[in-house]
Amino acid sequence: MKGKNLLKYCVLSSAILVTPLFPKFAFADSLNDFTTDNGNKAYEIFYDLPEEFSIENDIVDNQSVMKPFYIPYDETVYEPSSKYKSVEVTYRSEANNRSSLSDSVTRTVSRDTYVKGGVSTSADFKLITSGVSVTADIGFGKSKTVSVSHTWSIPAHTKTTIKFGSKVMTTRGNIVRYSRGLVSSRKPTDATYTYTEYSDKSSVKIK
Amino acid sequence: MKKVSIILIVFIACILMTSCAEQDKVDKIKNKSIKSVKTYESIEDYHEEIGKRTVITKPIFSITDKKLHIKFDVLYPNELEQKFKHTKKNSYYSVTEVEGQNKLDPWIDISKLPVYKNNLDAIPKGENGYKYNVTIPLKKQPSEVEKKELTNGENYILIYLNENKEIVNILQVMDIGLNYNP
Repeated sequence: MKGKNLLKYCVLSSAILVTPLFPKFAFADSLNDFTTDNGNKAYEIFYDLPEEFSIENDIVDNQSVMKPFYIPYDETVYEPSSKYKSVEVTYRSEANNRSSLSDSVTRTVSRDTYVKGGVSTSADFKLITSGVSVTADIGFGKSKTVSVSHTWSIPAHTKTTIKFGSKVMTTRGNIVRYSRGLVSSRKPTDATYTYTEYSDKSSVKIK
Repeated sequence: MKKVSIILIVFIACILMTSCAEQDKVDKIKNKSIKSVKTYESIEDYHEEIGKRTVITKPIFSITDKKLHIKFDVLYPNELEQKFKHTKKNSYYSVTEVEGQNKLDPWIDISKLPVYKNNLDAIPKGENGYKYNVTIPLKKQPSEVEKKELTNGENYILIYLNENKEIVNILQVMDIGLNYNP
């Protein structure tokens, strides 16, 4: 009896310790088994907390950024100190096609399009997107979930993995107002926003 | 003689009346069949069906004079074909780079890709279905090695768009086609 209690406490305490280290486990991702169009077995995961990985991390060296020496008229610009591009995977599936015929999977998948962060006005957001040269796929204050019907072919004798989600830009910097070429105000800001869909299909040969 | 002519007139009148009644029946059936054709407002009403049971042949890629040509045939299930043909608003299709890959940026300007009207009455039809042709302008002449990358179907997706040219379907099938087993 003592042993059983000890085991229970061990499991509970390890769960408490592990959850902050791997917060993904704390969310209820839904895992479903399904069959492909030709009846092959497959599974899919709809992530509540998207799987995220970096694709480009750019710390902007402000010393080397060419700053305007003299602007004859007043101008407000966004000067980024960091730019970070990442991928958020919201859907993943894996299908094993052991037959000699090609197969396919059609699923309705969705992703969130959003603008987050300290940016507070549409005008500031326009300055940010033009400052980092990456246009958002949604307007400021218009976040929404986009659903699309997606079909993937599954080549014969392969294990095919499919990922779907969004590409995300995260940036920090300052909105700087120049008056006759001199800085008249500097407002720190940051924004995280989606700018396009992401989709990936990779196939590995199986016997 | 009079009797014979009366009988003849009555006989002809009977035939005329019967044929009129038959014509009425035919007209009614025709009207009924016209009325029974269901019309759809937009591709949005049935777009989930596009990837199911549709057969797409393995696309053929070729490059000539700074242009990438992509050819493939699409055989829609009969029901879906009729839906396309009886949809009020236009739908469109295009072939573009797999989202978020940006591998082909040096050669293809994604923002200037051609979008074609998916009007099945205007697309030629062969034994493998409708013959789709897509031509993508290239920014520069690719080398022989670069041509391999540009003609690799894994880098492309076929998209269907609604009347507002918003993507409703993505088919990542340009490598081997869809449900195509020659």
